Amino acid sequence: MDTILFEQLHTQGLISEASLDKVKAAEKNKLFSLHWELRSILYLGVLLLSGGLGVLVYKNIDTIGHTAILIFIAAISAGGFAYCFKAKLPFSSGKVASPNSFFDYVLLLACLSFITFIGYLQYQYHFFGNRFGLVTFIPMVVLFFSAYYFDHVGILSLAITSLCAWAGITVTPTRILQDNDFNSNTIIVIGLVLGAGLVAVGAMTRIRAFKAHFAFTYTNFGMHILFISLLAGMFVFENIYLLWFLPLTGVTYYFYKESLRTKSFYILLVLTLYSYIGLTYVIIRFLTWNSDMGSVYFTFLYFIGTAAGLILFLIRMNKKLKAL
Amino acid sequence: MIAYNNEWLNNLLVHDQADKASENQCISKSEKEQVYAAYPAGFYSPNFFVRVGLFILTVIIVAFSVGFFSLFFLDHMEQVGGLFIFFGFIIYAALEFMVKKRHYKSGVDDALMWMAAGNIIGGLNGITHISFLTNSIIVFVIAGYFFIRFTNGVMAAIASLALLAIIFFTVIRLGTIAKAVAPFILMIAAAGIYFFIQQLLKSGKWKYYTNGFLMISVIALVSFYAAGNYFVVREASIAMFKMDLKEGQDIPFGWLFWIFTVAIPILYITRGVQKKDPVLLRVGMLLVAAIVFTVRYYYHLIPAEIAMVAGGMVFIGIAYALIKYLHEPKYGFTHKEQNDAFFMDKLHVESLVIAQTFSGPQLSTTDTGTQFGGGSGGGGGASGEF
Repeated sequence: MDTILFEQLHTQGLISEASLDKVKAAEKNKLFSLHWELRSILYLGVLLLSGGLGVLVYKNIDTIGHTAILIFIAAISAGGFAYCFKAKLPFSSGKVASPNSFFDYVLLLACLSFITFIGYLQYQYHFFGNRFGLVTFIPMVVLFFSAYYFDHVGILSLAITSLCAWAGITVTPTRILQDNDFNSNTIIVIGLVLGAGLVAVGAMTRIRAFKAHFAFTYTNFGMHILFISLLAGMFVFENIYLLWFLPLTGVTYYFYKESLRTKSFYILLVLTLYSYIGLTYVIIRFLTWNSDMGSVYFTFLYFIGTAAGLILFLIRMNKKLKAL
Repeated sequence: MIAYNNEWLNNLLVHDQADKASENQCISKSEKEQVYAAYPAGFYSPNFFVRVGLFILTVIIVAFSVGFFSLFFLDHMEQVGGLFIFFGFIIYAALEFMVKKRHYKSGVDDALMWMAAGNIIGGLNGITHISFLTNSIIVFVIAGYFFIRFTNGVMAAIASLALLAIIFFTVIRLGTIAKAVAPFILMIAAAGIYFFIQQLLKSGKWKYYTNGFLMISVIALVSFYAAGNYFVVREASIAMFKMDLKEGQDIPFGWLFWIFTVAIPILYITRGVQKKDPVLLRVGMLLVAAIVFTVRYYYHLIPAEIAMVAGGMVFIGIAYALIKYLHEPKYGFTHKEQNDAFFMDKLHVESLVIAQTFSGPQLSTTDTGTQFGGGSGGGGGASGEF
């Protein structure tokens, strides 16, 4: 803090003598925080260790070493969980702070090595036979349990990701559009059910006030899956695209209410962009009914006009949300 | 010089200070409100996500407006470069107008700035073929102008990169000896830029440019390292100067570049800790990865997975030891967060990063059913993620 500025503020009578002294004292005892640096190093460490072990165990298959590596992975996982059980603060249905920043990463490492362990058991020993679903199902259960029991939002995201993998779709942020074949109607139906389910769980989490701070994570994943599935449905089932537009409108309205309730600019932006894509698709389909030059001009004017309109909408909503 | 209202910019800095003091419980909430009232800032600066939305929508408007008017010039496509420059200036006029309308980091001014610069640079290149050197000068002038007038940090970074490019392309035209010493000249230039900017930062006269100066510092530090890095020097010599090197053959002064490769990040980290300078410290930490990469590229000492396991354990060990050591703050360092109202926390960005990096390609367990052909799946442009 700039003490000269605060002295000036003091002479202007804007802050009291006591406050000025506090500013000076705070400035004198200022600490340099290594918080984010240390978190990054820990994160990188967990990333490298779990990734390296995952490769190591597959590369050493059929040698004596691989049993040792497997035991090592199991030991890391068990040790990590043991530490977390010992160090954690008592469980409550509200938010529980983690005892220290080391704790979060030990839990992450324990969970990741557990996933590697299960995957390897199946690969090498066919532990679960042909029930492949179990290979993703068991880690998912463990992840959900860990997320709730130790109160870790990062693990919850992993758990939701593996829930979706178990159901058959990839929801990793940058791959959600690449890896999924949204031309397949099975995927669209799964996406709709999953998205709606996650949004519902998010709402329940909030209403029942059971780990209410998890609600955003559920809602966020659910919202994206739901919108993408609805848009995909509209593009794939071309003959009845107007029929898909109705649920899209409904979902948009729901999230509009949701953004007002939570004062969330993020949800507002997301719903604006997705519904704009949907609306544009419908309008462009109408416009290109007969494809002459006139409709091309009209398309350009449509984009200019609607984008300007949306700017006004966002500016108004910004004011509205701020005033709430 | 700066397009935005200078008094309001100053008042925004006062707001920042008041926010910090309030977060640290030095001043009360009513005092903070008094300060805000005495130092008003009338800018239109909406919430970050609204800013993103306004940015995207402004890009859509401008792109389709340009496209719409270009439709009338379809028969004169050979003059498309001139057309783009013309649009560039119109967009620039719109930018000045919106800034007059009190827009400051609203997304609208950001978008107009980038599109004006892009159109002018693209248009110039559309008219004739322009050499790398001339292009660097054009980019330097335009980005430098936008940095000075609109205080944008990324423009500052681009301008400083362009300046280094100008030096590089000038030097390599001067002959073989100049080519050989090009890395050293670039290192001197980067160091010069860095120390010059530190002087400007210290003088306190240019407080509206602080963000841009920090960006330039990062670029200068990274460039200083890159110019002396063994991998960069060796591969650039082969690719750009057609140096005839066999596999495993060394470059002249190879040992010197190896020293630079390893020593510079360590120097950054040490100086960063001594001076409590977060820029030096963080850049140094990032460049440790560059050391590992460079060494591993030429010497396969141990297999990658063993290096990963060992490295992971070392990192976790270092972090654990430091957290234990800094349990009570020592020498003015702490491992605790300084203020909790950190933007990233609100969105659980970290949890998204975890979901992104740790969930590898998973086998889907259901059959993907029958394929429907013909539809334009994907719904591109769904840019809600961040």
